[in-house]
Amino acid sequence: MSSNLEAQAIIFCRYLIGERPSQEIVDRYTAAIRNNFAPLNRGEKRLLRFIEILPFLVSAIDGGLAICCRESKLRQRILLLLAILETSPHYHAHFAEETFTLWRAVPMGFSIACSSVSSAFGILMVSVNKIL
Amino acid sequence: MTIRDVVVVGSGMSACHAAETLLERGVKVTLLDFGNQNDQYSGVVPDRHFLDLRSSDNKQSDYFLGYRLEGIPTGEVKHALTPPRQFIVKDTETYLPLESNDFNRMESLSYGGLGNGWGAGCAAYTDQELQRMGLSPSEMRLAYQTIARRIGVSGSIDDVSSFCSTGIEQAMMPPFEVDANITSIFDRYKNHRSTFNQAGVFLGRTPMAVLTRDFENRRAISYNDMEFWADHGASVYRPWVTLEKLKRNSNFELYKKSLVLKFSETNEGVRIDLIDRESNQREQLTAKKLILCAGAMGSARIVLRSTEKSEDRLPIITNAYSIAPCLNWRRIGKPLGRRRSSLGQLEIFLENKNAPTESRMVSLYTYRSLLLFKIIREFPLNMATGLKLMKFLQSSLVLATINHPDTSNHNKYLELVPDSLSATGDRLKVTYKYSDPEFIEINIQTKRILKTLRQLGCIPLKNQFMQPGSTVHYAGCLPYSAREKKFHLAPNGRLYGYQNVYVADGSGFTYLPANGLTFSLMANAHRIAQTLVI
Repeated sequence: MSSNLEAQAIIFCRYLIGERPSQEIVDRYTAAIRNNFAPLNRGEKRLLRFIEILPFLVSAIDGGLAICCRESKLRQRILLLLAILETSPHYHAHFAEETFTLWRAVPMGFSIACSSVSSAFGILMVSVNKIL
Repeated sequence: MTIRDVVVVGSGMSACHAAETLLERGVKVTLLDFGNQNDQYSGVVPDRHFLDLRSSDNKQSDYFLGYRLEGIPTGEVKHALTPPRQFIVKDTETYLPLESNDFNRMESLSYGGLGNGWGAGCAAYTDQELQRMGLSPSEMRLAYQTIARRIGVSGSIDDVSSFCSTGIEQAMMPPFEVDANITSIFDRYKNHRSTFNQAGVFLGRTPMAVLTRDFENRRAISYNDMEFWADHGASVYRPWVTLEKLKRNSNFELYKKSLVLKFSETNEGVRIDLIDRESNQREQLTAKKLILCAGAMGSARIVLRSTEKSEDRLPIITNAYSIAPCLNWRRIGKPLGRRRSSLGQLEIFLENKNAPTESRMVSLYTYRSLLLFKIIREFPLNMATGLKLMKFLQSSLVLATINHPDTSNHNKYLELVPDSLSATGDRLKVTYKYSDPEFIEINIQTKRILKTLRQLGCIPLKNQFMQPGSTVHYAGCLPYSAREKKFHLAPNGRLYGYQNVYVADGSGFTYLPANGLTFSLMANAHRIAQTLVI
């Protein structure tokens, strides 16, 4: 259980900010899941297993959940890690405001386009998972 | 048996100003309050700038997320209280049970009541609005001035003064500074003022209970962007400021830990039944006069319980409310700056030429100090992309809170129903439905508001209609009436059918204008306490 939660924290952190989390972040995430969060249902566990086997799917599944199942407890776990990161001084720069230039707008537009495509795939996965 | 002079029920805005006025008159006052305090988070939030805390405080998650992570939203967001403010609603499910499918209430059993989470807007209503509420404009005008001087109000004379600050201009301190995001919206309005005004759109600053100069032992606003999290320096007025002052008066007695259930009149005065929340024992007090200031729903509960065979329905009104997150595209990617306040900074009034009392009011806030993860959760995007996007957009995000006026109709009511499982043996049941014409008008005016926001350069990303009651403005349960009627109040606040029972909260208001009622609650309580015959 503990190692699963640690693996989740690492996958989610890499997905959100592109870095491996510090042990403190991992510990806070695992403690929070144990003490404050309801367990995942069968469908959500299945999606989580996909993510653990193929971590690159987290982006698509999160995008799919954002559209089809916003209140999902799996998405709630990603949100938890995001909130923990945001309130950690070490990761503050990842949340600080950035000035806007055309050079930054181009990759941003590309990133949103990719996100939309992967979300479409994610919607499909989430929908199939619901049927199963 | 001790017979107290005046017992005031509650410790919110109405209660503390009724008590202060009575004490100024030399009357002995006993204040009954449940009195939950912010024990958990008191002193936990450092008195430093938001950006400094974010970049350096290793303990920031204690107050930003909460010890039990209660600051992380799960499911539908019912209220936006930050963890250090959540004591405001503590114990209400147990002691103030409420059942409703169509009403989202927020009530309080805290020391200082709902005023602990007040947005600090101090709107002095127009004469026409006051008349429609059942209040005397001349009396209220004087009361507004008294309250403005007591609590410290800042504001400016501008295009919206006629909507919200008539008569208190002389009592105001200069307004607090507006941040770069909101300034750009105000500048656009100023550049096209005549066009906007012709369309019935006016922008300006409503008076705010925010100090811009040191006042008594309180500190001027420090622009730390922390108003949603703590009351540093008491720059923003809260009822506890008054309560702490009253506690130093020898004629004042604070009776904490008590929940008032009902009252009855006897030869000696008014007998008050209450529960001691620590021992859970029932107790009784007697007073010559009783003033209920428990909030519209709280006072309604007490009055209904005190009435034989209370199967009656009482009316309730609350402002229709929606929140529109907007993008101020001119500010995308531009720095917001450090020196700012989290409070509402600019108001839009939309005049209704056919019905002068039915203006709509929109408050504009810059979204920063509520943290990014909450808004990223709302995006229809994966969170990693949402985060990248928000880094550019955060300084240009504007929250527009849209308020509509309200009147009663026969589908907006509350009733007290028996409940053997509840601590008080009953629960309040609220039914609240708009009539078709009301619903149509709300939609028409909302479209007009969203169009105005676009013209001001703010692109609404969505408009989230909140469930009725979410605005936390409640009134009208015991309406004012010139004629004696059951469950109505005389103009001086006396409850018809009783000689010594008064209601000094918003229960009497027969109409709710779009801009918040809190300043009028204080002024009305002062007005009633001033004329009370002891």
